[in-house]
Amino acid sequence: MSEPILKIEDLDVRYATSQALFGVSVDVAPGSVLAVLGANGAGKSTLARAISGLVRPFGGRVVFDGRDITGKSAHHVRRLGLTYIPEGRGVFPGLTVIDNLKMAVAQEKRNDRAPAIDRAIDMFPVLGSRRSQLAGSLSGGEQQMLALARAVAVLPKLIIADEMSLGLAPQIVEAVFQSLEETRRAGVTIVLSEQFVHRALSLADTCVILSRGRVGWSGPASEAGTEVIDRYLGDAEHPAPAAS
Amino acid sequence: MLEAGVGTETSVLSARGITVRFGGLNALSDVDLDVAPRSIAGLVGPNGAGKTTMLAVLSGLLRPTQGRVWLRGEDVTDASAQARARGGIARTFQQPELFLGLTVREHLVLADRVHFAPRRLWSDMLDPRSLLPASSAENERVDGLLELLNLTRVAKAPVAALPLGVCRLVEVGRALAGQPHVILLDEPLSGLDMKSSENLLSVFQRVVAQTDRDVSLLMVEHDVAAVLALSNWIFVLDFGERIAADCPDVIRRDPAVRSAYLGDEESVEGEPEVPVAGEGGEVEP
Amino acid sequence: MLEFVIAGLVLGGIYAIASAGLVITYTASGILNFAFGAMAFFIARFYYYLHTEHSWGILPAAIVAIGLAGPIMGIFLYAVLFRYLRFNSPLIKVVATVGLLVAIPALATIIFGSGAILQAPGLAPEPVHVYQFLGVPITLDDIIVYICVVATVVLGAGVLRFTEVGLKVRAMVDSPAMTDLSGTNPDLVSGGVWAVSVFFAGLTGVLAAPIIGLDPNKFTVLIAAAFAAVIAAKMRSLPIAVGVGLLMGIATSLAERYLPSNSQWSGEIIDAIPFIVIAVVLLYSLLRRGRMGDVERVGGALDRAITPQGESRLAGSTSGALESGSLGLISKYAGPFLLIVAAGALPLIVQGYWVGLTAAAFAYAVIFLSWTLVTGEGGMLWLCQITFAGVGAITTAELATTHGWPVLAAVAVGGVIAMLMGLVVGLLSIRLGDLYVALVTLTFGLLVENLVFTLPSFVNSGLGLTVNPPSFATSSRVLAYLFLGIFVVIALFILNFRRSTSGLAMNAVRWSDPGARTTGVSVVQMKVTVAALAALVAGIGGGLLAIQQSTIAPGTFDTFLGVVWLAVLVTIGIRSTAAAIIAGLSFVMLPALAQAYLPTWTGNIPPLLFGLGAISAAKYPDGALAEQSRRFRNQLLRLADRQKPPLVIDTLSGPALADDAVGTATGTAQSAVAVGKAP
Repeated sequence: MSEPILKIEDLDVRYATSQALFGVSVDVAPGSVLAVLGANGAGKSTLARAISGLVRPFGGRVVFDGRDITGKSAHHVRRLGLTYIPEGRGVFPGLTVIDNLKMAVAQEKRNDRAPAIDRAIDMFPVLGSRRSQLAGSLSGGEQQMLALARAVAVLPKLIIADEMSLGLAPQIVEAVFQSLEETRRAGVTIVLSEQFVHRALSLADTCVILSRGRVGWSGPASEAGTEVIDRYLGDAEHPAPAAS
Repeated sequence: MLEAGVGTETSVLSARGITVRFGGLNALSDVDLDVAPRSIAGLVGPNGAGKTTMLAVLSGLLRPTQGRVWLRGEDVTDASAQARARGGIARTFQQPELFLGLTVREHLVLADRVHFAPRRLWSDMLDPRSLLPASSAENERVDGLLELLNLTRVAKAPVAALPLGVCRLVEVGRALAGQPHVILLDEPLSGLDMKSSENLLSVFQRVVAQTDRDVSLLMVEHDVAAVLALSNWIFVLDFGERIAADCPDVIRRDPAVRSAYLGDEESVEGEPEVPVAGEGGEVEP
Repeated sequence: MLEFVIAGLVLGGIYAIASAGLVITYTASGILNFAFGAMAFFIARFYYYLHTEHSWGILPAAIVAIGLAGPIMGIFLYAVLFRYLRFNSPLIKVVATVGLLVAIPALATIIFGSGAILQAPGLAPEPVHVYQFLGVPITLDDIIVYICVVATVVLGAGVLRFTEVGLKVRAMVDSPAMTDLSGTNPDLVSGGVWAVSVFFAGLTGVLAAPIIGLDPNKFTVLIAAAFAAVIAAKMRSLPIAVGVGLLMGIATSLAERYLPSNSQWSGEIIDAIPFIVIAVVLLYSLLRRGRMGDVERVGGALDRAITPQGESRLAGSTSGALESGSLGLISKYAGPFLLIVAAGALPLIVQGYWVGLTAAAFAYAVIFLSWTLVTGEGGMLWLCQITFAGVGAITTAELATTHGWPVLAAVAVGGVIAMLMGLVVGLLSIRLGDLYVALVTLTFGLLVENLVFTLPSFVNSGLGLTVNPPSFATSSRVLAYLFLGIFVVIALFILNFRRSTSGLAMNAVRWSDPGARTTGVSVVQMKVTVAALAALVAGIGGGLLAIQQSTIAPGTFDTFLGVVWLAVLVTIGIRSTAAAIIAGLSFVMLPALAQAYLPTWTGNIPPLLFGLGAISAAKYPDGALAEQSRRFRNQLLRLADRQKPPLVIDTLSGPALADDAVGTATGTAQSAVAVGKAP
């Protein structure tokens, strides 16, 4: 295995009154897909926010692409090539689609910006017809497309996608996952936190299951069988809706 | 178990034709809803389906563009949120709306007095007797609730420093202390781990079963499995419209619901895709 | 008519630039800058210092003052203050900028010397050239104002809409967290916005100086008028703010033309135009049953999700109604009790002139209790308590001196009249949210100050009104004890309120509007009641102050002075009744001591310190002094409490931390400060 592109060592995160992550360690190999799974409140979003610099860790280390980015601010981390798509539509709802894309590429060299925006729109043609529409007025799926477009426009080294399919209709979830696969084929490392456990595992190479802020299980995605998932995600605890 | 009936006479809470427009967007279109006495009803649907908006309309925090709301047969559409609260609608919030200057117990005491001694809200100002110990009936009710919710040990702690799970319980306690006829629960399980979720769900079941109360629950929840297991009746919203309303067994088989919400067309029999809801939650328009 | 429109565009243009400066920082950082007028004054005074006092040319002086000093001040204040305020409550934001409003003029006086300057040059060379346009005389100063307005509008709109910088500012307004995630440093953008805003403040100041002179009071009045445009724009719309600003200027000019110039009322209506605009906007929005929108939120869901919760709130301590442990209770009340006993001994210890000052201090302490109630308990920032005090004082004088009432009965009636005014102002503003309360009360104070307190019968040719003390209070000493007695009665009322059901309900209303309403507590009723009671207390305090001073000189109850009073109380402690008495003594005694024993120039240091103290509310919401005493008390409690096991929350869920819970048990909200990244 090559040197990991993202190395998280013993990460602790505390919020005002409680600790959200306890000594979490994860390695992500370049070009791979990591699925971060866990029940509600297990700390998935907190982990993503701590890596991306939105929340300052209390202890531990985050090394990205050979550099220590622990406690670095979010804009700094982004400029190093790590893009975080936050849970719940990573767009500026009050800006137009094109302004959203312009903000995404604002750190690129001046000559590279227009091609970057064109590339993003080529990948998500639906955005092309909505250039001057406010992002907040797009449908949920279109907003996620825009969020992904914003991420891939700059050709990042790593994308953290947090709950991208939350609240989307199935066809749209499918489209989102297809875009993620394309992104991965382009050589981008992906860290994925997902509610659709099996869908996420089908894309992932490795898997980490968080449980109450700790790493409960980690290993190759192919080994994350029903037993492991049931134990940590507790599907078996509730009668599931009957499958057709 | 009672089934949520149609018709306002038999329902503790009813809504007809609720429509809410934000700008040009229809957050809710012509939604009907009934909650039967002493029942648990579930309100589910994808993100942005209008669930939280519906609770805001029912609790009086948001005025619908169209439609009417009845509480125990009485039209409360034009009543303020505080008037509805006194009439018997209590609620909890997705992000707990607690009173950061008060202790856990004080939350319950306040709600109890609003119900049993509303005059004290004003008369206490000029009455030094408010410094005396509270009446034993009040203490009994409040302590009983604290016991029920397993909050006795944190009763005197200010809520500002409590973990989210405990905050949710305090909200439920505050709601119950007002002796409501119906409690609207907005994502009561979000942010809770398995054990806390189970505890809270068992509290819900016990509360509805208690003979000395007459309370129904209407629950908005991401965790569909939990809702289906607990509820007598389910309403499904999608893009602001009610796409189904039936008992849980029927809802499980409803193809429209499955395609709109569960998104498990591909899943193999016996290995269903159970959505494990996210940590934050729904972003309403 | 056209000529008056043209003339009105000068004042309107100044309003427009000021309101543009206010709106951009509000939208970009959620802070309504109450110190805008003070900043405008400071820069204008600096320009005067360079240009007039040190004979710099107009251009270099303008570039250094407006173009350099202004933006530097904006960036400095952003770096040391505003960036930390973003996620604070509106109350803290207002208190901090009010602190600046007090500190900046004090600093200006220390740097540039005191004394109001009535005549100040603008940006046009002296003597100012006068042109004729359609038969209307227009000065070069006027033309410069027009140019600046057009430049502001065209450049401002152009930059915001078409440039990358403008895009970043709009992105920042939409969501600071998303901006950060897009690779743009939100601090740089915000700092830039503040630099531009203070640049506008400086421009406003220098443009307005030829019209209103250099007097911090007048600048605050001018900016209060700009607030009207900001309120009409619902704090956010730049075009509406600029448009309403221009229209108000034109309306003022037309009123000057068409109202009979010899009538007292004409002048009053002209002064009242901004207030009329505010009243119309407020009534309109109340009739539409709407709130003015979510004025307190900055950014989106993500920004709120990463906001450190439980940090810096004004008065975070518990009501204490159910606080346990006799030691806790004793240590909580012993301090204040001893303090009041010590204060009570003061009139016996000191002699002569100083006894009178003690009585005055106690009268101020009563007025300060009005804030203990409305801000400490009610969580609302009222900036017109001094106006209520003035109403109380004038009513006392009118009834007692002119109509022969018993003086204490007159004081009571004065309080009741103030209470009724508080009721009306509360009903108009409270529904709209905390920020509007502060804005409306400030404007209301200025309106009453300019319309009522200046009536000839009250000014009495500059002599003011006289009040005689009650017949039994023959000496200052008796008066001091009478006031102290009244103070204790009101303080006991507040203590009882805090611990009563009403106190619980008020606390509920204050911390969560939807939570309180859905628990069955009416937010508006509760807040209006507390505000009206506070106005009653202020009115009574004003009557007492009038008795002590025996004459009510014009200017005693200027709104700006009331803001200084508030800064004093916030510095010492807004929640504690004992703090009110210390604040009263500090406000009266410190300047007197300085005057008696220190060189004259030190006289400006107390206001500067109080201003800085109020700014520190951002760090110590309960007041710097109150914070220190609470720490001391917690130390004592911790020593005594060693044996008890820490309170561990293990009921349900959540990784509760034992050490956090200990912080809880000792009641320090601050100990639970988030480790989350500072905004």
